[in-house]
Amino acid sequence: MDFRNILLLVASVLDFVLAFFVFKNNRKRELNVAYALLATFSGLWSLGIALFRASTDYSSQLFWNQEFILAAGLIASSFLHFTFVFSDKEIRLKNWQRFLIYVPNVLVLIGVATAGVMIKGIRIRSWGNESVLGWGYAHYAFYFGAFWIWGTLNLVKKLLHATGIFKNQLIYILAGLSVSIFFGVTFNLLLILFGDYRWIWLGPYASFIFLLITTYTIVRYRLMDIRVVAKRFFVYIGLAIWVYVSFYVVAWIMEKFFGGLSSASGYMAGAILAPAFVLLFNSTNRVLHSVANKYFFVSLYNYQETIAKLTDKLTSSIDLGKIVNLIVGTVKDVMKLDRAGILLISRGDGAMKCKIAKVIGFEESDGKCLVRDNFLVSYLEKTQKPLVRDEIQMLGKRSSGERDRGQLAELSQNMKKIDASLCLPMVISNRLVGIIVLGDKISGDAYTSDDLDLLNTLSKQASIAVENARLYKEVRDFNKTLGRTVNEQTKEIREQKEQVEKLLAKETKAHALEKRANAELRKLDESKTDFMLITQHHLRTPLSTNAGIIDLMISGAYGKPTKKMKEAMVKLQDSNAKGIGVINELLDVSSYQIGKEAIRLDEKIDFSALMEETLKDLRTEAKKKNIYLKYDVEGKIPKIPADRTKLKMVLTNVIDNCIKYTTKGGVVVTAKADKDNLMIAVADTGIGMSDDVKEGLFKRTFNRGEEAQKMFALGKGLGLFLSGKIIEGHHGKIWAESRGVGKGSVFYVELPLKQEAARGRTAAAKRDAPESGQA
Amino acid sequence: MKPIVLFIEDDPEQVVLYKTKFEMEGFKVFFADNGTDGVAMAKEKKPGLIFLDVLLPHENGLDILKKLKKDELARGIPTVLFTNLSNKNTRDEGLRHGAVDFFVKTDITLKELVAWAKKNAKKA
Repeated sequence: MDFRNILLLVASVLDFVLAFFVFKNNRKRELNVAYALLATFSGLWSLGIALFRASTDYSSQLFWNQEFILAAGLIASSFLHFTFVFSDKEIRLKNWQRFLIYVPNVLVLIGVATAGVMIKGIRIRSWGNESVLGWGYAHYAFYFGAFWIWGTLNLVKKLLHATGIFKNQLIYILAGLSVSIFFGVTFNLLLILFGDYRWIWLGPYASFIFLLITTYTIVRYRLMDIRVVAKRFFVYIGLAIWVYVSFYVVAWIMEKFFGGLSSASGYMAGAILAPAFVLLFNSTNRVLHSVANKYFFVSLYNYQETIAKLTDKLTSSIDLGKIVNLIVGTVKDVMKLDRAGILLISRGDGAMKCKIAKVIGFEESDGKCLVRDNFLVSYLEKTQKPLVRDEIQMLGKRSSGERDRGQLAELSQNMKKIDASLCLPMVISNRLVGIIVLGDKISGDAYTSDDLDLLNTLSKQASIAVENARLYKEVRDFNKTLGRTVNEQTKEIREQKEQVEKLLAKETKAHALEKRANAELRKLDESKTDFMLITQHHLRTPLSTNAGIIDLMISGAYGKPTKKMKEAMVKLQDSNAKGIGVINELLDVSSYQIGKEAIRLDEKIDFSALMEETLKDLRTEAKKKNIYLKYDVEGKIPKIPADRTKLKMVLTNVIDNCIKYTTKGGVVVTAKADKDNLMIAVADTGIGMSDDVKEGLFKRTFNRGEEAQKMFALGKGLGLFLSGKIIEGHHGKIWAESRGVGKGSVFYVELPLKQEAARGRTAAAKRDAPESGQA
Repeated sequence: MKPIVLFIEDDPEQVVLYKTKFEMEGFKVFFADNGTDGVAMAKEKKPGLIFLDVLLPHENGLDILKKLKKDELARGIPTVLFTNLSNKNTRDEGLRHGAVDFFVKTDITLKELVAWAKKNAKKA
């Protein structure tokens, strides 16, 4: 078997394999089916030619000759079929169309089967077999030549309108096709027509070339998207070859060193080699995979890495600016685009606002025109799929509404205007948060499905990252605003708080001061008390001693006194007693002023009884002076709230005063009670008072009045002041009247019957007359 | 047997005075010029009456009163606060702590004092 035949066989096998993969990839798509048929028939054709050349007997030669003529015809049909359905859109032929394409082959079949129509005979030449063609062959040639031309024209027509990836695919296919056609038509059609059979073996090489180009197109331009399958095929073949080779190597080793596969040492060696083989197998597998990845998916491989890295960076950042820059920059660089941009969509008050977040290569105004009419936004939100400009037409055909189609067309125009070829939606929970707009690849290649898958994944990641960043920014802004608002709102509160704090501080200070003042007062009090005690003691002691000694002297302890001595001693006693009295009063005033002796008004006393008691004490003195002392009561006197002791003091004081300043006549005390008060009047027929004396009578100064001063060296001026204070304490009034000097005086004391009402009166009186002993 | 009185008093002039008067009236008079001696003497001499001054140089009569009343032997003796201090507090405190009465020296004559003592002293 010569090498040409082997090559032909290999070509046919590869054709079958190609057909298989294409068909397996998508047997529903008519394009795949047509192509698979094309490949299959090519394979059959190569096979036929190979076997024709290899056959030695006539019947085989004839058979294979018939076969490959038929196969060639079918190739032409399937090629035509292919050209009709080859497109970036889905095209389905009607059954009658398909029928028309393939029906001529029936004629070919008949022609082939009938002796003499196609093949007259087979001649054997030195270089190989040769078939002698019949009259039918020219018709066949013509027909299928026409098919070829028609098909090619179809493709050319399509090429003129094609764009993007489709265009690339077409170019390559046409290129491959041209070569194949050239070869095929020349060597297998024309030359045969002119009787030269020598070169028929070249034809299948054309198909081989076509095959190669198709494979390349598959690899590079994802023709019919069978890259994954092809890659797997590559790996399997590689592994199969490797296993095959390994097997023979192992077998050789066994033979050479272990005396055969079935020897005992052979088994042992096998046991060791087997695990080694498994390990090696695994690594080989990996290597093959990575190689296949690299060459089948070279760009994809890189993308994946880069975009995985990008995703990492995206998810670790919350700076919106950084994220946006990262997305646009990376995508543009990795996919080698001429331009890329991101639009962010914010919703506020129901309206959607698009903002250009970052563009490279686009003009800022470009983005605006794209989203001007909101159609793109709502469309993307609805479909949530990438929008490829090239596909808009197809989408338009599929969509229902007239308006939609119009808008899609307009969108497509807009995109073309700004050279945007892809709009990726960024969606979070069915809400569009942004659009990634990409231009064309610098290489001019189209976006492959893998590209789109990747971009889809990327856009999802990007959406999340952008949304996070946006939310973060929102929260931060909100916090700032909140903080500011809170500050503003609480400014007043804070100011108030500050004020209160200041006040509190002042108060605390004041309180502290008060406390200190109180403490000092108390100390003062105590020292006053001490003073009091000491004063009392020191003032009284000598006087009491005096009194005692005098008493003893009078009672004769130191010898019996004479009458004159006794008289003197009595005078001494009186004088001493007076001194004691003055001291007592002094001490009382002091202690009263300090407040130790409060006026107790809780008891109600019988006034008349008190009066009688008081008068009893004073009658002696009055008798001594030979003046009368009378007490008159008008009506009934109810019990009055008073401090008995103090009131007695006052009465004693006043009456005593009157007695003192009366030499003839007497003192008359009257008491009368009305609804509110008890009125006491003490009238005397004494020396009377001038007006200024009257003024100063109850004042603190020891004002006894000039007249009084004249009469007595010792006075009871102090007493009146104290009396005034006591009556004030009773919330009552005390005052004096006189018709003038020598015309006697009357002292009035008014005491309230009910204390409650009286307190108010006293307070009012105090307000009006600040420092006056006269109530 | 003569009734015994004890004066706890620091003023010597006063002491002479009272001693003279009370002895004239038929009392046996003892005196002490400080609290410690006073308490000791109360226990020893067992007077029928104690006159206790409040303002002593280094002590407070009230404290002495308390000491007297704490002592088993002395507590039964009627004790009178006899002083020139006339404030209410002292009087009340004294009475609260067991004094039977309170006299201000300047306000009571010797005669009255003797009369009261004769009436109230515990017979021996």
